Amino acid sequence: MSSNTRPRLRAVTLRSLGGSQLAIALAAIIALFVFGEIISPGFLSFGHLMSVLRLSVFLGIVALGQSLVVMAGGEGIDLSVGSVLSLGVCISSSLLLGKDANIPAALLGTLAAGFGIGMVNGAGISYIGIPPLIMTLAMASVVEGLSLTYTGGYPKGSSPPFLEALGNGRTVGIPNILLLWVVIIVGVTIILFRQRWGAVLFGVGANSVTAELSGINVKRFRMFVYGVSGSIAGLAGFFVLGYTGTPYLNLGAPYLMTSIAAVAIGGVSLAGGSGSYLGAAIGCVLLTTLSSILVALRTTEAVRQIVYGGLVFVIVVAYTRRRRD
Amino acid sequence: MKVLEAKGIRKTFAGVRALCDANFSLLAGEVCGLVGANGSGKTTFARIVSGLLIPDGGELRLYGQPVNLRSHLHAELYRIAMVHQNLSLVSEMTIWENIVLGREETGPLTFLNNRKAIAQAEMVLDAISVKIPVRERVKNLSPDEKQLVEIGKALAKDPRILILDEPTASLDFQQVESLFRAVRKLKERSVSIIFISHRLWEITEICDRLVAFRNGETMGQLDFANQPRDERLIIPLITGQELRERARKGASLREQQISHQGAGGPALEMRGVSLDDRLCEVSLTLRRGEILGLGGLQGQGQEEILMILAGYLKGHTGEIFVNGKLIPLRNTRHAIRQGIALIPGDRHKEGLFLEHTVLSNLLYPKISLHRGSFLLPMGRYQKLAADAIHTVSVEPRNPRLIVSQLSGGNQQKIVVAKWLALSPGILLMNDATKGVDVATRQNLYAMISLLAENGMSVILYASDNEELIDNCDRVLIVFEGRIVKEIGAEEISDEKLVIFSLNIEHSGEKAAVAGPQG
Amino acid sequence: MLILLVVVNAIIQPEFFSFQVFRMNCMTFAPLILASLAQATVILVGAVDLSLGAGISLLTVVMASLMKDSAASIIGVTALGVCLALFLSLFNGFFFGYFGPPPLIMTFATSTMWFGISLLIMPTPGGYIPATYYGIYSKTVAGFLPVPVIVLLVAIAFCLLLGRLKAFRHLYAVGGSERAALASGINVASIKIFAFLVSGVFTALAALCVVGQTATGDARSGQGFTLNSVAAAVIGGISFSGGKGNYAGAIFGGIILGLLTNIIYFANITSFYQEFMKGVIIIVALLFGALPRLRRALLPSREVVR
Repeated sequence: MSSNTRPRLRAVTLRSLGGSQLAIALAAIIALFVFGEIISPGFLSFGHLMSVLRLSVFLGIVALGQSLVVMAGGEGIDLSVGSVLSLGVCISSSLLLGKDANIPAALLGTLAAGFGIGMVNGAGISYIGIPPLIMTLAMASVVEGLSLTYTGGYPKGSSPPFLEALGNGRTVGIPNILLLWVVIIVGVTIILFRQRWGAVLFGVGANSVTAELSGINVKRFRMFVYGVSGSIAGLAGFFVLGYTGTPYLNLGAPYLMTSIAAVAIGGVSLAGGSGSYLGAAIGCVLLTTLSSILVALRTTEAVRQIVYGGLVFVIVVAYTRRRRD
Repeated sequence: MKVLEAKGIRKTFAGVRALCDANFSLLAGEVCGLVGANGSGKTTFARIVSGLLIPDGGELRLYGQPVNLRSHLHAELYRIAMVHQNLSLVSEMTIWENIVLGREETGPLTFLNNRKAIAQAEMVLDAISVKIPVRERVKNLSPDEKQLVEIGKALAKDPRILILDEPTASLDFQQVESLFRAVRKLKERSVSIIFISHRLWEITEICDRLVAFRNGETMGQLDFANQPRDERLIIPLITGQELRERARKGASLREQQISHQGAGGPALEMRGVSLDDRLCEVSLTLRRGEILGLGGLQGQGQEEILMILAGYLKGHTGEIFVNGKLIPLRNTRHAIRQGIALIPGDRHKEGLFLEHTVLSNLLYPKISLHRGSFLLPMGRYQKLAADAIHTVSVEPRNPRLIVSQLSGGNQQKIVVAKWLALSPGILLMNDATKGVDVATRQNLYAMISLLAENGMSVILYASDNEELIDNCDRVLIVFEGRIVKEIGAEEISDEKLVIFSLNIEHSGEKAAVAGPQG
Repeated sequence: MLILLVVVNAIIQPEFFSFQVFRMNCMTFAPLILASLAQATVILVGAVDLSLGAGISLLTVVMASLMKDSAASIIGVTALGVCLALFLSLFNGFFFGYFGPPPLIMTFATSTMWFGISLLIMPTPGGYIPATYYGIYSKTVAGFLPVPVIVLLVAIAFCLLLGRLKAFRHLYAVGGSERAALASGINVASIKIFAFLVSGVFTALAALCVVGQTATGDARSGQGFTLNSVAAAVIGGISFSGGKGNYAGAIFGGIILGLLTNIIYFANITSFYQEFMKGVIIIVALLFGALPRLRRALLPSREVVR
């Protein structure tokens, strides 16, 4: 990056941060960490901090696809990201079989599969007019079935050393995958605010007719956005495999709800046309921190579900309230 | 007797003074016009009278008594009703359901009394001579029919004061006439009407008096009992300036200019273009530097012609030539690359990103066409935006403002500037100055005329015949998807436009052919 | 289309037209149809309720934990269940009506909350439902009317009653155009709450049927109902934009979906494929529902925005 773009970039991100909304989110993260330290000393240690951030990355990648779909407007949402992630895990592991050499093929295969599923979503939504909610929810079932048939119930393979190093290793004490995520965040932000594709995306999300009259093929564009979201979810599965080492079924399930929550927290308007990925990323960190605290408190899944749901509920209601004012 | 009297009404919104000294009075059974530029405060005033807004100061008297209206339902108790532009109809419901919506009568056990509701709806529509069956669903109605149902809905509240805010915004003259018939019937029943409109010829036709607002205060009055019904008397009250002589050059001078430019062949040609049942064998030629008008009643296919040329509507047959080359206009991008730009009529739905900045709106088409560098050249874009803002005089001049904060007139200027920034060879205008005040409209057309003299060709559709007469070199009348008449520059007049829009001449021929049996 | 499905079902499912099978089908279809009615009400007012399934689960869990053998207990706990259903939907409705958050996310959040509470009460499926209770559900009245059908008849009677109410007409108005409803003096917030309340009644009936059929409390029992109820409503012609469609459509949608599910089940497809087929079938059914829109989409764009 030349020094010329750097100051402009900062101006962009600060302005598009949505101001106080994200300041609140950041403050909440800090508060949670302090709380965590109180109930479980060592929570605020560098090592643990990095652990939590690393865990956020996977959610963060899923939330990227979700953000793009929501920003594209038309009440866009992708409820199939969880199952596509799971499928990604299965496909990746079966193509990798524990060998580094297979990485390019596995990556390509996973991305292609995710892209294909996303395009089917997009086609149904854009060209047939099925509401995104229903289409992606139905596809989620379909993809779940696909995972089952593909693996026959027993996912095979494992992740190779390089991927495990990426998923688990650290450089200068910072998890590798976290570094990768930072690069992704910066890259995405540049694309959204300084690149043609991002500007077109915001327009399509804000008013699809105006965008169409301005020369954009809205239907095709939105279909591609879903395709991209699908491949990103697959990519997330690829990385998750690197973290876990061996594949399991249904690894993606917890990411769906949280990706939507992160997007909502991050200030991305659910009507489309505005928001930023940085906001969603911060939302991911917030949610992962919360989850970490719940684990530290040794709560059961039941309590975790209640807290998660309650938190999202409060945030969504409060956010709408603020908008009204 | 004065049913309404307003003195010194004041209203400020977040630092902007919408009204500072508004005075208005209304007598029983009269139609009083309320005119003024965008931002003059007339809509604010109307909303205060109808109870939607609470004034900061001033006195409002109804039927001789001072009142403080707290809500629009409170105003309804005083028998004041306001008719919106199709804002209060549920399109999936029938006419009668809409008319009684919110005030349904219930029998025992709070069950709905539908028979009574239907009877009431029929009565109300009959009172304004509307013949549509009340069981029809609103979504199947044309815009003027919807407007009449809105009026019916207001009438069902049995008001003594009716406020019509731009009731004719997208109606053609035939629809306006039916509206005026209804208004006259209301006068017979001693209903008083405040008629807000930008269309001065309507004001002169239907109103008994008028009041002009400027910058939040009453600027003057005209009583047509004492003064001639002449628009030229109204304009100075609105703009505060002496009437500018129509800057249109003589017709013959324009003809010379156009033939001079026409050496390179026509800018655009359509041959035999048809679109399912909406357009039939449309053929037209647009000469370079010409401003060609599309006239006729509303909904006859004018909008379809423009939308096809813009590449938005697809599936048409026939050929379209741009600068002599046969072009299949497959999508909007194609059209834009050919130098065709469409200024849409509904700025909210088709022209703007309301929650985005002025800059973002102005440059969107340019951005979508961008090729070359990976990053967008923001420096150059900032300058382009500043230039565009300057050219059309958008106020305030800040490119970072969110568009929804600007007034309607300024918003439309942005839409126009957005497309002019592409330096189009062919400009299409789809009723683009609807709802824009007189001053802004004159400025916009002056700008477009200048561009036409320098080679830009324009196809202009306006539902207001005045606009066509003032600005076009030729007018093509569209009727039921066909071009039925071409009116040349010297012959354009309101009378001709009306006659040919109704296709009277044609049906006259038919009757002559049919003969005695007919 | 309905006829086609009935025929296919008859071919595949053994003894389709026998009374035994008819009764079984009624028992299975009833909760789906009721859930479809509940979802339809919410969609009509312009929202969606993704917590429908979790709400049903929570009801089964609560009822299965509390019910004992005595008649008083049965009646009491049933009444409690109904009240709980109304409370859950009021919760959704209140916040939706007065704060106006996007219903998708809001109900997604509440569904997670209800799910968590269900897990808290009953981490593994179980509980106790007295035989007298679930026995009623499989009984037949007057020799030919299975109890589930009676429940449906009660629901239909309720629908007819609703249709005559002023508030119900206003529901359509709010769903069709909130702006128009406001301009007509309708209290939009209370109508939204009303819609959720009505939906709660149908949800309660659905939960009672589920309990009658499974006789257990299960925190996951309602999961399928969410997507199914939405699909059934959409198949039945309820439009997502709100204010369009009617209860008859929702009922038919539920029946159609039930028949489709039966077909998949009896076509001897391996369990791996079932989930897959279910999703595909729903998409195909939606395609049929969207047929007029499909035609419009495949033909070149006709709409001129006005």
